[in-house]
Amino acid sequence: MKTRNFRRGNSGQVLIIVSLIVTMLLLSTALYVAETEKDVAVYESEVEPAFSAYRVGTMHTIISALSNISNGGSIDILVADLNQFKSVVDNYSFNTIFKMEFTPFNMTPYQDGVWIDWGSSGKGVTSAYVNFILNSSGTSATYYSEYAVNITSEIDVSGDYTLLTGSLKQANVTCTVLNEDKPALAQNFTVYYEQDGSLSPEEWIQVASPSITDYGNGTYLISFTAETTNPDDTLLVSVHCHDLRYIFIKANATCTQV
Amino acid sequence: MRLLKDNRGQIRTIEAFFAAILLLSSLTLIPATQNNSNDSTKILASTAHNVLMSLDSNGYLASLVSNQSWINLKSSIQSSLSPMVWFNLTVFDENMRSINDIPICSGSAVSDRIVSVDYVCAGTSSSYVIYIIRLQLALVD
Repeated sequence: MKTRNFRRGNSGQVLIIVSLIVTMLLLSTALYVAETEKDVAVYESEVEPAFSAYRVGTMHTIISALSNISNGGSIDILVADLNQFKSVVDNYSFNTIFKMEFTPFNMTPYQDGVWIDWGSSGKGVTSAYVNFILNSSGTSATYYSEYAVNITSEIDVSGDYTLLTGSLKQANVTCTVLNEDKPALAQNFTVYYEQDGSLSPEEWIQVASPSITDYGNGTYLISFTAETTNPDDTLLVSVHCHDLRYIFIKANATCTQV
Repeated sequence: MRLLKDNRGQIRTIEAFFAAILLLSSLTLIPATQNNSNDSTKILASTAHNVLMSLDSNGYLASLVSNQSWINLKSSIQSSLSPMVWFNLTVFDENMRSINDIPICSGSAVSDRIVSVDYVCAGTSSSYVIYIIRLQLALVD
């Protein structure tokens, strides 16, 4: 019987085993690195898409509340609407635990987040200012955002007039409408003038059909004929306006004679 | 000298290395496949958010829903998306009751991977109202 010579036939076996061990080591190292990478928290300055949506939502909520308040609604509407938005967001955040905190700005000239100044110096302001903190904790990431929303509608009124016959005056009033300090378009205007040029008592007369020229850049020229009690009476005008967001603003101004 | 002349195990060694390389290279393919599917889902979710946000940025979305202009809403969504993307949109009120009485979609679904995004839409009108808009997207195969 022929005996097999093991010593002569197994010279590659050790190398094969070594190569397999090396492969196993490589594989286990690769797997370990891959698993470790999964667990490490990576800081990324990426924006949670829902945050942008909520930011738009808070802005729209404030616009809605300001529209309501400026048209005769209660100032409490602002907090009530924001609480309503907050509860909807809290209830329907399925993927993450979402927290929204808001604080209406309470420093002069704002009171409970609202500032309304419809003064007699030719400038009228309707504004709301609220600070927000958004926080979301998900399975894969945590997001935090702190921002303020300031919605401001403003009107600037100035004008002059020329004396026509008797007490008739031809008035030209220039109005500039601004949203957040940027030129904005108006939805409508209502113009009044004081009958005897004195505010005691106030006797405002609505101008029936003023001629309104829209320059397309937030500036409007309003022309009309006013008849005061006496020719020497100063011409006080009051311009009431709704901007495209239906926020009401008004301003009174004294026209100068030219 | 004897070891240098003895080359009978070399082919097996080379085979073993080839097998190891094959194993390693096949492993690299697995995460790549997973990433592709995740990417398409992320892209669809991001697209859904962007479409809704662009329509909502000036209050247009809420006004369409308030006026129940479902046809215009469908056209707006359709024009914002690629023809290769299927969509289905449902409008809910705050109590998750469906508002749209007609389907707002681009036909029947053709892919089994549908991405759904819920969007909270606040109106800007003085009578405050909130809608929850669910936009489902899928890629056409």
